[in-house]
Amino acid sequence: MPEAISEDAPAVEIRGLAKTYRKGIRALDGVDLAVPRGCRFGLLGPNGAGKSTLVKILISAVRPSAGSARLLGQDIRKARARVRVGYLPESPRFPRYLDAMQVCAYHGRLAGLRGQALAREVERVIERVGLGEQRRTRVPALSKGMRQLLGVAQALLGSPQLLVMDEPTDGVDPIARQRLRDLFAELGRQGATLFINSHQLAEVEASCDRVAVLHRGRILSQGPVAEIAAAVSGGGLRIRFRTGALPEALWRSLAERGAIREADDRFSMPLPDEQAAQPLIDELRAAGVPVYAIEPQRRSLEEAFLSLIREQEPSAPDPLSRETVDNRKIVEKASSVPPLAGGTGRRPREGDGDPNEGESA
Amino acid sequence: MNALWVIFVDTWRQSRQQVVLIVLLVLLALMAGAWIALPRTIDGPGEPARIGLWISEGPADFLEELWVGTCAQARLQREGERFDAADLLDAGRLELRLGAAKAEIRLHDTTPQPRRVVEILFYLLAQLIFTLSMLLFIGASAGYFPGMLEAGAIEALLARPISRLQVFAGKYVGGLALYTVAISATYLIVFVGIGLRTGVWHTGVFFVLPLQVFTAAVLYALLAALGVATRNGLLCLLVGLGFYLVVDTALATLLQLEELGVFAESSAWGVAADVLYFGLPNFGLLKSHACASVLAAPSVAWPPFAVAAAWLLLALAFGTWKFRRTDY
Repeated sequence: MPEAISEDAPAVEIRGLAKTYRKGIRALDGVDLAVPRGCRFGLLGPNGAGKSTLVKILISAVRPSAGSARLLGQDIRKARARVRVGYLPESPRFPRYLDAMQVCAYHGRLAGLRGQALAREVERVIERVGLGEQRRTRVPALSKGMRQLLGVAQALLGSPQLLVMDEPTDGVDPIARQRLRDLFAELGRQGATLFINSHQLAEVEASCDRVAVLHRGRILSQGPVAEIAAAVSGGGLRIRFRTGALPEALWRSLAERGAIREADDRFSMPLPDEQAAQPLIDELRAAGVPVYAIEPQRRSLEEAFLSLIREQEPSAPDPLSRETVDNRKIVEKASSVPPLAGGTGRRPREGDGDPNEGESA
Repeated sequence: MNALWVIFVDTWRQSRQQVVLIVLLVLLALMAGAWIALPRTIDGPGEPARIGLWISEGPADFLEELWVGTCAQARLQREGERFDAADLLDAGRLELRLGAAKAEIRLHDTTPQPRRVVEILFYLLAQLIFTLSMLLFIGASAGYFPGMLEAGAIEALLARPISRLQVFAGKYVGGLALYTVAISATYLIVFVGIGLRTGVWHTGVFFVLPLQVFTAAVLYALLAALGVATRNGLLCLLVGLGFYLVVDTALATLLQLEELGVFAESSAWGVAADVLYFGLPNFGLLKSHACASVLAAPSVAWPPFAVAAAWLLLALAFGTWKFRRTDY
C-alpha cells in the first residue's frame, strides 16, 4: 500500500535516530530533528560529530541502528522517498568514461527522466552551474572544482524539492562559490529545501537560515541562526569600540569585565544590550579617552558554535578568548566570504537590520 | 525495471572503455579470422572430397580419431553415463568404456571424414576461445563492482530512487550480457566464415554457448561477491585469475599425476579427489563439456554443473546480501 504523500510534512523529520558501527563506535545517539519545507538548513558539528553519518542515513547509504527518518513525508527505507531528493556527496566521483553531459544524463535517467525532458533538464543544470563550456569534457579532465560543480548539477536534476549537500562549496573557486550561493538563494526562493552539511561555519551562516549543531552524535541546539547565536550569548551583544590610546589601569579594568583588545586601538566588549554602552562611553570620556566609533556586533554563528561545543568539551577553544578571536580574524581574512556583516562573516539577508549599523561618537 | 536497464546500459558503456575488453574483442576477432582464413576447399562430388586445411594435410587421421574420441565421451555423458571422480581416476576403466563407445561410432556413424575434420577444428577453436575469453573476461569485469562502489560514487547512486537489488542486478546482468554478446558474435563469425570457405555449416558450434556463458556467470558472480565485500579491483583480479587457473588446472594436474602412479598407495587421494570434484566449481570439466557439445550436444555432466550452479547461487546470494547490508 503506497504511502500518501503529505505536502505538509517537514522536508526532513528524524526521530530517535541512532547509529552504532562495528566495534561499538556510536556515531549517532538518539537524534531528533525537524527541517521545515522551504528553509535553508545547515548541519554543523566538529569532526567526528556524526554529520556525514546522518546525511548518509538520509539518502540510505548507511542503515540506522535505531530510530526513523522521513524525507518529504516518506519513510527513508522506501526508494520512493528519494524521488524528489537531490544529493551531492562529499568529494563526488563520477565514471571516468563519461563526459559532463553523460554524467547528468545517467543520473537523470536514474531519477526517472526520459527523452526530451531529460535532454532539456541536462542542458539546464549544466548551464546553471556554469559548466556550459565543459559539457563535453570527460570527467578525468575536469578540475576538482568543476567536478564539484558537476556534482551539484546532477543533484539539481529533476528540480528536487529537497537538496541534501555535503560540503557543497568544498574545492570550488571564489567565483564559482558565489555562483553556488546565488543558486542556493534562488532555490530557496523557489521553495526548495536545502540541507547543507558543512564544516565551514561562515559558509553555512551565509547560505542558511536554520542550523543544528551536532556533537558526539547528539543535537546540541537547533533553530534559526539568529536565535541560536542569541541564545548562546544570553541575548547579549558584543560592542566594538574604536578609541584613542587607553591608559593601562583603565584597560585592566575593562579586561576584567570581559573586554578583548584588538588591533588599531580597538577593543570589543560583551554587554547585555546597547543601552549598557552609554555608561562605558561616559567612563572612557571621563578618563580622557576619545571615542571615535562604536559598532554593535551580533554574536557570530562561529562564536555560538564554539560556546556550545565548549559546554560539552571544556578543552575546546573559548570563543571569547583573545586567541580565538585572533584566529578567527585570520580565518575570516583567508576566507573568500564577501565583506563581513558586523564582523560575523554573515551576509545580510532580507529582514535583517543594518548589520553595519553604528554610531559616531 | 527502468533503473535496472539504466545500470545495465552503463555497464556496457563502462566496458567499452576498458582496454582489457578491447583486447578481448580484438583477440577473438583475430582468432576467428585466422581460423576462417586457414581452411581451403577442394570440391569433390557431393560433400567436399578433401578439405585442404593446413593442419589436415598430414594428420587428418589424427583429427578424425580425436573427433571419434571426443564424440564417444560426449555421447556417454548424453546417454546418462556418469563420469565421477573414480572414473576419472581409473584410467583403465575409463578407457574401456570409451573404447566401446568409439567402436560403436566407427561402426554406425556416417559423418564424412571432411566434415569430421571441420567439426573437430570447431571443437579445438572452442577450447581456445573458452580459455582466452574467460581469462580476459575476469580482467575486464574484476573492476566493475569495486569501481561502482568507490566513495563518492556509490552514495550518488544510492541517493537515486532505486533499490540496491536493482543496482546489483543491473551491474551483474549488464556485465554478463556483454560477455554473452561478444562470445556469440565470435562464434557467429566463425560459423559463417568457415561455412562459406568449406561448405560445412556446423550449427553445433553454438551449443558451446550455454555452458560457456554459465561458466562466465559463475566466475562473475564470485567476482561480484568479492568486489562487494572488499571494494578492491586489484584483489578481485588476482583472486579471480588465481581461482580460475587453480581450479581449472588443479584437478587435471592431479589426475595426470594419478595416472603416472604418484598417488597409487595413498588412500587419502580418493577422498581428496572427491572433495575437489564435488566441492569446487570445476571449470576444467565445464570447459570440457561445453566444447564437447560442439560435436554431440548437449553434453552435460551433472556433478560439476550442479556444484558450479550451487556456487553461482551462493555467490549471488552473498553478494546481494552484503551489498544490501553494507554502509557506504
